[in-house]
Amino acid sequence: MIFKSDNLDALGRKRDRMKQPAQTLTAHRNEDEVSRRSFLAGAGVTAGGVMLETSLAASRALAEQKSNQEIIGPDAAPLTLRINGAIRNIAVPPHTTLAEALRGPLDLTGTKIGCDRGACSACTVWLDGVPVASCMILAIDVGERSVTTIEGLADGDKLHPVQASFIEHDAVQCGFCTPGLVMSCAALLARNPQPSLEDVKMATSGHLCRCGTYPHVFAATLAAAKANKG
Amino acid sequence: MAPKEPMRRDRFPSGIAGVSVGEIERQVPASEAPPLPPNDRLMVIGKRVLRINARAKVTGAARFTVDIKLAGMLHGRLLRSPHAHARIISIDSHAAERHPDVRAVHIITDNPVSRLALGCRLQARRAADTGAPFCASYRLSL
Repeated sequence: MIFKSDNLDALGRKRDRMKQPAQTLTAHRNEDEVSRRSFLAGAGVTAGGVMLETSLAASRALAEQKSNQEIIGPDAAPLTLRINGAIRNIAVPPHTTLAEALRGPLDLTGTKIGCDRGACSACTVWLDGVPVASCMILAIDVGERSVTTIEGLADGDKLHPVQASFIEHDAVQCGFCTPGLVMSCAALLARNPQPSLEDVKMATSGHLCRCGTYPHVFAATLAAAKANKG
Repeated sequence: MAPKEPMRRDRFPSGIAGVSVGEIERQVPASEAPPLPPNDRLMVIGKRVLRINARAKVTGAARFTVDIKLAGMLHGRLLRSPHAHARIISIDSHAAERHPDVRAVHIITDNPVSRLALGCRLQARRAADTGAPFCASYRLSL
């Protein structure tokens, strides 16, 4: 990975196991193989243990891929990201989070930063279709994964069914948490087209809405699922 | 005695919609507006209206204050102590002041129990370690 210490564990010991092929690691991983970096990436996942697993494996494979690369930083370094289907080149210091990169140099301010510590989910975006807290992932760790933000959810002028349903059911008040909620609810419908109310509550469990619009969010998401079926 | 206002008698809907709505007749000033027609003949009252900026909010297009960028805009960062009731011994903001992106460092010193200052000292040290321009500072936008 990028920093020198990345192949070392917390005590500075060489972490040889990280050099095994990613597939082997995925199949036979032990808890102590979780690096701090991959844990952070995994911890960004909004809900669902299955996705945590996927995200961990992906970031571990990525870490291995990059482990022999040159050291980057502390100054801004060039970075290529796949955002909403487009290739975007930016230059940011390595400590820049994905959320900061999106809102800053990429000018995609639809992604909001509420707490900047993975507690409010306002910054939720998709990495390869999986909802993650973009404030908990460094931009340089995104790698090949494709990023989908709220700006890339609609198909041109045609809103995503969840977006249309949020408008119809007034699942919006001040709107600051809305982009994150929409991303999580849309991801839920993608993996479970007919969710129950409990499923919706679980999928949005990390999202804080200070206006308290949760009931309308639940109704909007269930209605979008129903319309999809219909 | 005030001059007597001309009055008229009129019938008004009375009761709770959906439960029982009746009509009552009462005397009102002649200048009183006539009763509203029933809801189904009204355009707005009693009708669902879509939030005017809902589309902007669900597409991320809505601009909040924090989304606004102006040319030459500086970013301020307020730092507080991570320790409740900490006593400020000293403040070293040199690392922050030396950073090329930092335009100004303000330390609140007129408050005898200022917790902000201790936070500044800790953050300045961290900034020196990482080279990260996020100490007690105003800096240019990215």
